[in-house]
Amino acid sequence: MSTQSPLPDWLPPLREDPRAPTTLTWLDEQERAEQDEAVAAHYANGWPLGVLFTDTLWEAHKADLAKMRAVATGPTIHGRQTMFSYTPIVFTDGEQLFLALCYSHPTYLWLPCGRDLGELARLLRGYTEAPRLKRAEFPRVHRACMGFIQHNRVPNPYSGELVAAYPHDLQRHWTFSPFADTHQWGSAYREDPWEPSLEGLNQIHIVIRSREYVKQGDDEVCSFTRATIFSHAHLKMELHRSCMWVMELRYDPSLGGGVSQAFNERFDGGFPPDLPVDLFGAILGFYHYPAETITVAPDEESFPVGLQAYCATICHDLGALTEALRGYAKHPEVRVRAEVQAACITYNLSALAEELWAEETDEEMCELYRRMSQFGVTGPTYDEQGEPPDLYPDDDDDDDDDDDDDDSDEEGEE
Amino acid sequence: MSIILRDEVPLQAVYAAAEAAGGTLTHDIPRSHWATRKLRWSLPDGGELLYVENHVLGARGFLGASPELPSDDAPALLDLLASPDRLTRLRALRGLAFLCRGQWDPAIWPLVQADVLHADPRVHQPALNALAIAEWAPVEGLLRLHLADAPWVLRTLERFYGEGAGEE
Repeated sequence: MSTQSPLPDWLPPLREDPRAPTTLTWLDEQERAEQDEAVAAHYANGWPLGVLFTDTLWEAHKADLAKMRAVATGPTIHGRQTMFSYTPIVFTDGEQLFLALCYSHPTYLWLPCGRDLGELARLLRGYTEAPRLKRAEFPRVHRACMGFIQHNRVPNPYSGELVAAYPHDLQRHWTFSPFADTHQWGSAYREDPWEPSLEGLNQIHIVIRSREYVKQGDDEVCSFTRATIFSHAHLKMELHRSCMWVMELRYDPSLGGGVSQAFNERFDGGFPPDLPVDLFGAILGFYHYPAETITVAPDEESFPVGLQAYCATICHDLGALTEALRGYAKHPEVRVRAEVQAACITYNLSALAEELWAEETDEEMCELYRRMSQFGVTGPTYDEQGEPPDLYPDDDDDDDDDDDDDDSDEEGEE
Repeated sequence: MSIILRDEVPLQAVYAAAEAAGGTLTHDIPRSHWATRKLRWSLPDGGELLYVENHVLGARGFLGASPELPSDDAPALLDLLASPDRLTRLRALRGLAFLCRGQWDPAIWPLVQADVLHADPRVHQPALNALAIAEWAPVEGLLRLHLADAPWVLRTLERFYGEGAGEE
């Protein structure tokens, strides 16, 4: 933090601007120094939990931070659980003002305001007074494949080690997130079942509700949805066949403030240009492949994965899904057609499967099509954690081996 | 009037048509393994638009009021059910199953009977599935009438009408 540099000359007159947010508190010299020190201390020990950095982003953040000085604070924002509260801070780099919704947000997620207190007021109001919209009310929906569980990594909060993004590990990650709520809901709930504030509920009640709300609906695509802290956007993560994650973002683009667009230009990103900063922060660090960026090449080894990723990303658009699969269904190689058949089974596309059955020449595939048509395809099932059974690798294999040794007389000959 | 959208109509055109009609999206229900995806808009005149994607039937369209988009309605599908092309007949039958669920039209049976009784499972099974999914009450009785000629209809009776378990 730039604790020694004086405030720029253009700043003091701005304080008299009648458009300045009434909820803003301008800091005196000592308060500015204290705030700058607090921010510096937050990042002193490296990457804090809850934010997924890369080396490039971390270096950029540190370089930006060195130029920033806190000049004002906004109203305290309470998360769902009142134990989590956030104080927006207004910084300047000497050239313009930035609104950081909380200092746990990296600098590239700070909202640039120029020297315009009207813009600062608009953004502060937008992020502190955002309504909680219903699912259908969000003006924008964006879907992108995230790749496999094993390819996305989040830190283990105890060891700091990066681990595969299984639902349990993601839940721990979100617990420390300054972007998204800890509390999530499964596909059994169409809308956010949590109250805006959980004040007054004791921890036991919250745990009971968490277990209830994470349930998956019968035959639904497995999903975990949470609201973001400030804009109250929805971040849904769907878990598809072969442990592939797909993100679905529902948000109000008017809150974006151009942060994701500036990020794209600076870091060559491919994100929607109008993402609210908290939603953007929540997905940064995970893989992000919108359907139009996914390569589906039948002649390449990556075809099965590409087709799975593409189908998972567009699975809620029947016309596009059908058109895509028909495009590969007459491929001369059985391995390609078999992947199309697998997609028909996964997404229960019975009518399409019956059409392809009529054209199919491979006996094994015909037999599978016959069974699918005559008996139907069973839907997915989930355990009480809202997860597919047998999702996690068996960490007890070694222990089991030891046990087997002990029981070798009884079971060793099986 | 309810319509089935033709393949060339993308989902974006559905949203655009609803927006052009002044619609406000009130429900966005995702598909599940069996349940259909539904989008519902309220209209300024108090009416609504209901768009449904039935992935099992491979059909999507509007139930009730419909915007102007390339499509077929039930009378048009009934005409297509007389087509000499089997796939055209099958898609028409699925379209009718989608648009007229639970509302049987006796004109349908004479046009699908040959496919239902056809010995090739790739012909009769898709037709049987569409008839059953449509929940047309008289279909069960019609199938029973033909059990002797077409023993394969037993599987459909077992799966959709609760007949006692048979052998695979």
